[in-house]
Amino acid sequence: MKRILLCLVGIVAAIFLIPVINTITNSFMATEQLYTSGLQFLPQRFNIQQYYILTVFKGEYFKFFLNSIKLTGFIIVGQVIIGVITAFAFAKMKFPGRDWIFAIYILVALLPFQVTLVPNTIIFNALERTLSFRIIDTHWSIILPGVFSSFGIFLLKQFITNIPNELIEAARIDGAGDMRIFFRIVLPMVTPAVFILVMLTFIDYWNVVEQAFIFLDTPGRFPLSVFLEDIYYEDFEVFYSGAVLYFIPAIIIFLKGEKYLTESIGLGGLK
Amino acid sequence: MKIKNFKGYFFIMPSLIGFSMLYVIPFLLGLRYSVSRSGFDDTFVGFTNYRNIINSLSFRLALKNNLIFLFAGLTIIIVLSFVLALIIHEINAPKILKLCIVLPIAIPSATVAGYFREVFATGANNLMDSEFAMIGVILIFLWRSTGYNLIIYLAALSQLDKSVIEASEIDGANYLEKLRHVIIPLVTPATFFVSIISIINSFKIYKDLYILQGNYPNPKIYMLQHYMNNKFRDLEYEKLTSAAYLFAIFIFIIALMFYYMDRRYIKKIGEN
Repeated sequence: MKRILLCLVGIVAAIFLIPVINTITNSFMATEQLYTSGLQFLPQRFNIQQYYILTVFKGEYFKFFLNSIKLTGFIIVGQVIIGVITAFAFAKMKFPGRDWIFAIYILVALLPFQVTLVPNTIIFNALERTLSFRIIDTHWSIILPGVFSSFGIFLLKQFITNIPNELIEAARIDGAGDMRIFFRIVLPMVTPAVFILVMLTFIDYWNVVEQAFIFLDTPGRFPLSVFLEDIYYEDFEVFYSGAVLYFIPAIIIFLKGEKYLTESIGLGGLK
Repeated sequence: MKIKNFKGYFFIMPSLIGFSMLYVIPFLLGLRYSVSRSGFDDTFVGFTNYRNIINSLSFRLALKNNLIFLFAGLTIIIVLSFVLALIIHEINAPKILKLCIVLPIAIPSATVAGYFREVFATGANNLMDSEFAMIGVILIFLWRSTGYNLIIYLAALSQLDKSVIEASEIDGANYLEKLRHVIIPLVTPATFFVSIISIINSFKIYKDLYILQGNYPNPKIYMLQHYMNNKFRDLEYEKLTSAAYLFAIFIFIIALMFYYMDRRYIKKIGEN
């Protein structure tokens, strides 16, 4: 019985892995084989021609890769800094209206991005007019909403709430202020949670799609998550190698962070 | 009231300003558009826009598809992830298998679009262009989001109180009875959490659909997000905002429903 079930799970796991494996094997195929129609699993002749063409002749690929790194990097740094400070206040400080404000944070987080699309555009335009700070058609139009999204606050609050109050009270009796408590006690204790936030934010914005095609007009500013589609149509012979290089960072971060995710997301849901 | 009480505001201020400007104020500001004649003429027209979109064919199509997708997708993904988690938990399957099922959450849509195009085109006609395209959408959704739910269920199962399960075994319950009367009720909080996460994840399917089929996909998989994006492109702001509020109300009702079901459940457990 156990054998059968194990096989069953193994088959499911294999099915889940196939799209990734297939993309990797296709990246080692020669051009002729790529253009043969139908699903191809193994390269007839293993070669790295795709990677060679991509790195040597398709320099613009790396420009878009850098766009993605820039967007994701800014959003991660911003969201972690703002998230930790805000989550600390929501979890461990008492102030009037706290629970109501937090409820609004959660409700808004449930909505897809299209809901606030129009007014967002209008606010971006207003900022541009009053402060002459261009947002639309620049990376800021993706970075700013990313930095201020409430997801990180929600995630970190769960962790900070779990830090025993006695620890904080003890520090307070010893004369530590809120700032000191924050830096000396809370920050070191939420490091695993911060890592989870980094990982999930990375995954989310490494795959940014709608925001990019709505707010950006200049194709040169697109992140690779959108531009890869152009490569599919225009440079199909290097598409799979481009795809593999693009998901490798995500897979590395995922493998590093998966352990923390398992330990905590699960628990967060049970609280 | 002492000033000390307001100190927390000092900490949340940066976030509060940014979040209000980019999320809360836009959400409220949109109300004005939804009751104006158009984005460029703010004559008050009451609920005309709402009535118009509810009667429009494209909105109805998008709503219908979205409901089919949510209902079918949610049911299947909850059952699938629970069964998988249960098996993995019971037979203590190697960690690598779980990792394979979770991995897809990290894979960018555009990188596997090549594979999905090929695989759905296998056979006589392309699944994504056929009238059964919704099956393809649900398959992609399952592929992408089962892992997340699996983690939640596995954590819930590993935290079950062993003594309750042993007690039921001593009472002579067979596995199915144990499952029905002990395990499933005990993991109910995880099921609520899984449902909420799955609703949020179900919006992310739009990324894959957009990459695969662009702004005007097969009508069978035309969703509310396509509708809203296209209204934005057509500058029909009044329609976009009206649709957005209907969408938001719908989501809030679902969230509230889960919240109260969760509350009632906790109460019930407390009474026993």
